[in-house]
Amino acid sequence: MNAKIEKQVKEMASKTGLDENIISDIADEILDSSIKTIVIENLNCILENSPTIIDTTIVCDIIDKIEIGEKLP
Amino acid sequence: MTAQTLRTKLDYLKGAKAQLERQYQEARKAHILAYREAAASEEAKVFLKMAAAKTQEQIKYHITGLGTMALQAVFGEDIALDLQFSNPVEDEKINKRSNTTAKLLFLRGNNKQPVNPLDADSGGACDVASEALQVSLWTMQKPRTRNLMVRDERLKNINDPSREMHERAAEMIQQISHNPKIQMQYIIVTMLPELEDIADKVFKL
Repeated sequence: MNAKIEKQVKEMASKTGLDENIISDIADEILDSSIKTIVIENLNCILENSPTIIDTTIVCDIIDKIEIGEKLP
Repeated sequence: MTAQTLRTKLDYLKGAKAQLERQYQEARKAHILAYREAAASEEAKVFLKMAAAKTQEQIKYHITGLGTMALQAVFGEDIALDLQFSNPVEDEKINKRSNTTAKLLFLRGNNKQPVNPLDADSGGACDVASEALQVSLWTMQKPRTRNLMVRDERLKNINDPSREMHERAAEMIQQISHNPKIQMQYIIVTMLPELEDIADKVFKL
């Protein structure tokens, strides 16, 4: 992971409360086109009223900030 | 009246006749031309109507084919997705032609009764149909955008205590993603265990 992406990951992590490793893992899986179905289970976030937020906006942020322009041709 | 006056009058009348004959010929030519144009225009109208009907048929096939397949895979054979076109109507009062409109409907039961999707049930059928519709519309794009769909709480409106419909809907998503012609990559935020079961990768948060 290059420095630019690492910075984006840190920013995302502080914004969402998500673990940095999870964000970079999600980004890696998205980039792997052989992985067709990625499910992010948010059950605990809802049940435990966790401060962690995960929704499609965050997924789109991950795609935008980490993937686009960094690794895709 | 002298012979000279009569000759002058005769010459004048001959000139007038020749002028009228020329005008008649010109009018006749214009009439023939207009007649031909009208015939060609009628022919073009028929051709356009045929082309429109064919286009509507193809759009209907592309839009409803996958939707019907998905609905039937989840809910059984007695439901189908239909697209009905209303043809333009000429309003003589305002001299305006209405646009062609298309309406999406569910056909329910053996007699294929049209039903407004929003009144159909808990919304589960709408969830499944809209998933298939979005993929259908994506396949029709030229050029296509990247084969990636991001979904939030998809299929949450399916109401089936036995969870069989949830399983079948999840399988439908799996089939779309693994279909060699589509190869859609899905990123789904959900709390449904059925979607986790079909996932290639699950993140639990």
